[in-house]
Amino acid sequence: MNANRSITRLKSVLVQDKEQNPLKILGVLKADILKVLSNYMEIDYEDVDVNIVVNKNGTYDLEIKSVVRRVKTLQTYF
Amino acid sequence: MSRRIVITSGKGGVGKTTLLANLGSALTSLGARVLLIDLDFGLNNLDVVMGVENKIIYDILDVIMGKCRTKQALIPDENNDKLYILPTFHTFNIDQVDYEQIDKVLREIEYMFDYCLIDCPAGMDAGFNRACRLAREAIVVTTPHISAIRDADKILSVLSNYRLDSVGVVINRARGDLMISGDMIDIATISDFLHTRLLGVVPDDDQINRNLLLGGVIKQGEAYDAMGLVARAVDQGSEVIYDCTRKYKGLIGTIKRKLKRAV
Repeated sequence: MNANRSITRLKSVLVQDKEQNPLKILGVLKADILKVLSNYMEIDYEDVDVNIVVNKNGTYDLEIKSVVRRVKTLQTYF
Repeated sequence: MSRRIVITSGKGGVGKTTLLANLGSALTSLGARVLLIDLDFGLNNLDVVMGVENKIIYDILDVIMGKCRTKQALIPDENNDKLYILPTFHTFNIDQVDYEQIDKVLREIEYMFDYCLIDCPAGMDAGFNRACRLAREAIVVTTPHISAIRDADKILSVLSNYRLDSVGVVINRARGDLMISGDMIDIATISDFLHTRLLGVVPDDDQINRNLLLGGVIKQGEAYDAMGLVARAVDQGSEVIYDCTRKYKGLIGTIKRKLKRAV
């Protein structure tokens, strides 16, 4: 079954190609995530670890790990 | 306002221009008025595919330079009064034309059409950017080969940077006999990898090669039926995909497949 070998090669090249993409976007993404998170918690840039992992089927997993010093108390104005 | 759809692929030679011409014709069968626009500057072939290369008096550059009115550059298809072609120029003076100038030309005439199908050059350079900026929707054409699928995947990634309302994929030159025998990547696998709506599958059909000899769109055959389904997917949102493996299934299909392989 040549198609099966071909699929394996296709997976390999697609994953290789995609592994380069997250590196370009990671810095900007981290800054944007930090901007959103800092509305809700006290957090430093260095404390946020953002990673994008490419799966074998070509989809991505986004992993965000962070140390949060304090969660802000939300205030409502009704 | 017409629907502006760019037909792109990344890789050259996958059948973009042929698909554009035949999809345009199939859309007219559904009652739409269609304009085919060649933006493959310098390497234009839409005129040859449509068999109108000897009818070109003015092209899009003449319109931009003010040598003629936009309507004067339009070439009607001699067999289809709903299908028009806007040819491009043969020279390589690509720098003479920018996105805004072409957009202005299209705005002048798009009220006459339901669809403006834009033929995009291969690659991801300035010509690709110009064609994609003009469009509101995109169709990415690929074949069931690793190189074409890889390029389609890259193009889909790049297209996500454009403000497009929709992006779909058409798999061209599919060989049902090879898919069944395991010698070609099957449609479901390609679709899974590309993570994009599959608009259709067009089988490898000798009728297309015969038509290319004299120019003009196909009028019969497997590819014609498949183009009709792609047109319905584009126009009506239909999800019916041509099954290129169907005729190679069962006892008769197995005999056909063996005979084809023997020949």
